[in-house]
Amino acid sequence: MSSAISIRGVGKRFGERIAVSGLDLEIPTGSLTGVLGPNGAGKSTTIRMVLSILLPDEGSIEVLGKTALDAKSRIGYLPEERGLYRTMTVEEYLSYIAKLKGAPRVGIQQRVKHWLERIELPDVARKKCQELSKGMQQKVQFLAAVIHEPELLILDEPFSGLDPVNAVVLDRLIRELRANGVTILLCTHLMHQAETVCDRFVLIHKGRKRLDATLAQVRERFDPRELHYEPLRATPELAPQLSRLPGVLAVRPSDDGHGWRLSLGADAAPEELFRRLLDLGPARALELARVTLDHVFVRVVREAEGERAAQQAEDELHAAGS
Amino acid sequence: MQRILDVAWREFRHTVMTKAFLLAAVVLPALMWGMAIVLPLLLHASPKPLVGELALFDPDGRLFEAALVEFDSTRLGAERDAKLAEIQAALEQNLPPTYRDTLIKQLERLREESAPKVQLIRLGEAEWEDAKASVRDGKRLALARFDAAVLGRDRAANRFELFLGEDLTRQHTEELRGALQRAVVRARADQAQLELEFVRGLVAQPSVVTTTLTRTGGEAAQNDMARLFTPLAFMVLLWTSTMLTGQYLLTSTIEEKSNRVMEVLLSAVSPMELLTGKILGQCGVGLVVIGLYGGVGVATASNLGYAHLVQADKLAYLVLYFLVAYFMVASAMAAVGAAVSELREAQALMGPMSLVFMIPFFAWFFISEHPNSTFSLVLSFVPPLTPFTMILRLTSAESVPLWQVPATALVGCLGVYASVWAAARIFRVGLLMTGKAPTPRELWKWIRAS
Repeated sequence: MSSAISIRGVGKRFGERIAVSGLDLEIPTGSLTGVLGPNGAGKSTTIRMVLSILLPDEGSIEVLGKTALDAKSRIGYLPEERGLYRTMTVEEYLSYIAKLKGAPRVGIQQRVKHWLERIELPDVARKKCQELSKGMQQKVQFLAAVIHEPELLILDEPFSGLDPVNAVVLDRLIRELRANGVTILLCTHLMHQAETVCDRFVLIHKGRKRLDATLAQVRERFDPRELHYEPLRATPELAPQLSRLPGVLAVRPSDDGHGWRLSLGADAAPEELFRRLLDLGPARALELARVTLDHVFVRVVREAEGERAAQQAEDELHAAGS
Repeated sequence: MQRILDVAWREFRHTVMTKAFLLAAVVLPALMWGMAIVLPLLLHASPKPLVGELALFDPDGRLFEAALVEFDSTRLGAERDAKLAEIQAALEQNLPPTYRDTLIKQLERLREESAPKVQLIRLGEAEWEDAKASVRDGKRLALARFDAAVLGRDRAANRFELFLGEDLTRQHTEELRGALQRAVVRARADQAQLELEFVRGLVAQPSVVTTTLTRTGGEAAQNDMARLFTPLAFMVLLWTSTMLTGQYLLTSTIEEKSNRVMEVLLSAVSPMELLTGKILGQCGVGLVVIGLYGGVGVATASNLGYAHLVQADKLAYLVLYFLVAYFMVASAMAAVGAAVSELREAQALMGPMSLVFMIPFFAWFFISEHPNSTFSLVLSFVPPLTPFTMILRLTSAESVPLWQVPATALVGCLGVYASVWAAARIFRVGLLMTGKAPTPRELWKWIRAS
């Protein structure tokens, strides 16, 4: 598969501070890649280099088969810190951005109308941007990124601040764009959102790439090898019975206190264990644990940084979740 | 290039089509122009005739007699009619246009004037204090006290006293004072047995009708004040249009940074394209400002008969030096706008720059009076001040060597190049910077590091 973005040995410094160091990255054409990382990891700097807003100090970047500068008009970008010209009308603003992005000048009004209808804002074309609600403004900002129908779309925290209804609309549009062959880079702190939308993930920390894998690869690599069992009726002698099951290394009570978590060895056969557990009696819950991106994020950061940084990442996750 | 033009057009349109701009650049000059036409009409008022009693204390009565002649309404009326006839007769002759204008103005003034109706009363010493009270009460216009010595040749005694009521206007005071002064002269002439009109004819200095022969072959009335203030008017227009548009550029850049639209723009255009587009757009705004204010200036000057002071070559110099001044100021303003996040922070960085641009205001009088002095010449070759100094010199009365125009324009262009070069570096670094505003030292680092 060809690459929409090829980053080779890229580094960027701001004075004494190293923002990105020796970064190699290939983003396959047509993929929807989640770019993860704690604040200050180097995500935004990398994206700005892909957009040729910043120039790398070292290494090379190729975007859509060209230099980053030459591919500029074929990229759509929704920055994390985004805004609008307050006194411009929505139509004026979107037309202006579309023109700057090189969209054909003929039929630009129809293009704006079409996209406003697609994002469920049909009646705001003549309104000034400052008259729109925050949610509406965010949708207009999203349109500014896609109005010229780019081949590569970079979305930095697209769901931040959106209510659930508007988030669903945006989610649908992102999926549609991806289905139409647009390569999408999605930067987010909302791991569950990334997990449901993205098919591959890149985790950057301290300016370096720490993870670059598909969802299946992530699940395999970070498989917790754990089984959650909650019997309908628990008896005191049940815990020793669980410890004796083949392939079970350890048993500990669940966090909610209603069941047990069984750590499995490499030789454990989940199908066999499921059968044996059901033989012990009826179960309220029986589930092979699946890794979440939250855990992957924390684990990778912990590995890279140590316990203190991991705590910070957990705090950020909680903050983003709340 | 198309992107640059798109940015320029947005910048131009969204500056020009705002209420603030309409107020500052359209309504204000329109009001000024309107005032230039309407104000003279509003200020025009027909003078009221001087009517009332004037009491005189004159020891021997000779001055009283002379004053009677001076205030004789029949004599004054006849004199006025004779003067009117004289002017009308002169106007029928072939006169220089400027002299004709002067005569017409005199004629209009004479027609509006009415002869005073002043009744004279001669006082004795005993009546003096009562007479003062009557002036205080407004029953009499004034009270004059003469000493016999005023008719002699002793210069120290050449004076008289005049006591006025509080309500007398400046014009009526002048009329009274003038008539009594003339009465003293008349009395002296009688005393010397000379014919007053003969003497007056001898000592009357001729009036001078000054006409400027313009380079374009025309003739125009000479007005020293207009000549003095023309360079200042040109410089103020240049300064205002440059600073106004520079300020627009500063605020629009800060606005794009503070409302977070900058990163979206930079994903579509390069910082240099953005900077160029913004500068070009505001340049258009500046030319509109010059066109509007300059148009009002030209219309007003033509209306007042000073069209020769705003000739085409001077207007061409204005546009040339506006471009030099504007590109220097605009690039600096854009750089400052990119470096800060709030207007308040910008003002701190703009302080030293504003002081430099105030120098032409402090020096305008000297430069326009001495355009070829060493000081003026040196200032013309100091890039930030080049355009302002040159416009003062080129619009002053004295000619400036023509070679200095291309030479200073070249120096100005070098200044523009340096300014845009430095501004581009600050602009690129500063656009995405947030937080604390940089110090001038940090700005210098940005220039060197980029």
